[in-house]
Amino acid sequence: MNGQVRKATGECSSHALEVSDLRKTYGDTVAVDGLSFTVPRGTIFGLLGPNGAGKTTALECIEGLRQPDGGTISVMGIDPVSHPRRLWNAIGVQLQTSGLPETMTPREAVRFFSRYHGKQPSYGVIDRFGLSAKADTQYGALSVGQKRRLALALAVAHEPRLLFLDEPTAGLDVESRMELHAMMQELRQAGDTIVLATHDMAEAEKLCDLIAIIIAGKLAVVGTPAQITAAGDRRSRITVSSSAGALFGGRAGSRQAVPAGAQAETHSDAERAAGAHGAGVQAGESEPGGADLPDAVLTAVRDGYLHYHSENPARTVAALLRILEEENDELLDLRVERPSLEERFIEITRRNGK
Amino acid sequence: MNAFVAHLSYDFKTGIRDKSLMLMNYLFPIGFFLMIGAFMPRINPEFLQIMVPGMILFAIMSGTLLTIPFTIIGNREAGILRSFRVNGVPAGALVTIPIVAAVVHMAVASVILTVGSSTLYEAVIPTNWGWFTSVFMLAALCFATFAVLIGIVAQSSRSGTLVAQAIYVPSIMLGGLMVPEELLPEGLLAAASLLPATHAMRAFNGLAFSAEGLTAAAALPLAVLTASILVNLLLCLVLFRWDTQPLSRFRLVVAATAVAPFAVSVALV
Repeated sequence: MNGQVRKATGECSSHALEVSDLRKTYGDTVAVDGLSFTVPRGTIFGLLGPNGAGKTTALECIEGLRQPDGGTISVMGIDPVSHPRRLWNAIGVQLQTSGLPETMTPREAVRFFSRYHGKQPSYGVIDRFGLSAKADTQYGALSVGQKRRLALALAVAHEPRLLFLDEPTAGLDVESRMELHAMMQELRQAGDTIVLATHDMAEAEKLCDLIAIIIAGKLAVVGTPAQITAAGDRRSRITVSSSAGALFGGRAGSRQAVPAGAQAETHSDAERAAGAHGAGVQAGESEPGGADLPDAVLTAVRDGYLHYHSENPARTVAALLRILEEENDELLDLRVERPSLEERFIEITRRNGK
Repeated sequence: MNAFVAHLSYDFKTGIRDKSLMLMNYLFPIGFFLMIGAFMPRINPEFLQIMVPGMILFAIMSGTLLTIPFTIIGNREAGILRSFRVNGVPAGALVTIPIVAAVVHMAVASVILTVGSSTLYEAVIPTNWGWFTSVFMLAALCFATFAVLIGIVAQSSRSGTLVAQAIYVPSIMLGGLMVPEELLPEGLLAAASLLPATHAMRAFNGLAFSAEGLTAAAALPLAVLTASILVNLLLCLVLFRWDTQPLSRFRLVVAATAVAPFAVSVALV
């Protein structure tokens, strides 16, 4: 570490990881630009960002694989630059691009890495991660899901309390993904801390206690998934369908029934108009084909469904139920959704010019 | 069992499990030996004088130059080296273990070739087994360290192949493996002295197949091979890289100093 980089201090902190003013450049390119965040112990911390945002570089500095140009890093109280070997025994890492030799079996891999961590091999992790039947199968013959599970098993085999997982579920089928999610939740319940870099917003929303979004090497936002989504577009999405179509037709009660599966011609225009920022077309103003509801913007009419964005979903839903009641129509489906993390992520990246 | 032994044990097993490594470590040199032994002594009866060291050097070159660089390059490209690094595997282990494992494989292959040469083809066997073993060790270490260095320096399998073949092919043609060095045209002798195989053959012939013992002439190839091993090892440790970031031009020039012991030997002779 050069002179600009201060040494990390403090062995016992409530934080498993503390990063302060981290900087890393490659020639003229600034990969990480004054990044600061902390990760509380016993949490899953999501690191999100578009491609090239600097996530992997930041992680590599934290993991002791790259030397930062400035800033402070404390990983479980260890400075990665001055004590990389101590660090590697204290953390478990699953790199984005990493593998094992094709001929190495899971049992050999556990023995191999455990020895280098100065531990007795703990073959129990092979069972724990559902690989007992493949313990003596060569790595090259394992499926993608089995390889990912093995990577996670190896990351925890030496019993670290802090794990770094870089896109652990990329390329997995739904079932394997669910299995890995369950394993990560199990590790958190056991008190382990996980730093999870992912592009999968649903995964981050489901698993993470805290999320940091990095854009152009800087921290754009940090908070719980709920805090991050709540801080953006506050409108809820309301999707409704009824049997007689009482809500169709541009005003309440016009009874222009649109059978399920049919598509109104206006939906694409309305959707385009609404866009990610929800500019929207007010129902009734340009006759897009839906009832005029209070505090709501009609954004699409599609497949027999009306899609609204509402500032006040309780009032909007009450009004649409009243219309259905008055028109003696039957409610088939009604969904009220807050904006997802993915939508918020897109909003943040657009706002930051990415 | 400590980490080094566990690693070495795995690496040695890989040399048998991996089909391409098995081919280059054993099947290819033994197959070549059987084929060449069937007709070469008829064309050139003197070949039986150099059959044992020639075939051993052929096996050593095949089992090192044609395997080790590609394993290292492949591991680097696949992120395996980074994976090793974050699990505390030191660079020193990744340099030395392939060398030790290769020497063990080559020792096994050499025993097969020596016994096969004398029993199948009545080739001349060494007169001094102590020197025979010592020269074998030096030759195997020299080629194995060269192979690891190529794996560290080469940016891709393609460039690794070019460098490895630049040593392998001339060594077979000019190194005295197939044709005694004395039969080479004089103009090619200096070029031959730039090759590790030539020095290994001189050491075998001067010490293991001769009653003269350690003469000044025989000591020179030993010194050159020893110097080469030390230079190569040092370069491997200094230049070792965990990821695919290319080496700087300066470091490539530093890597080229691996030929220095051989260049000095040409100047001395």
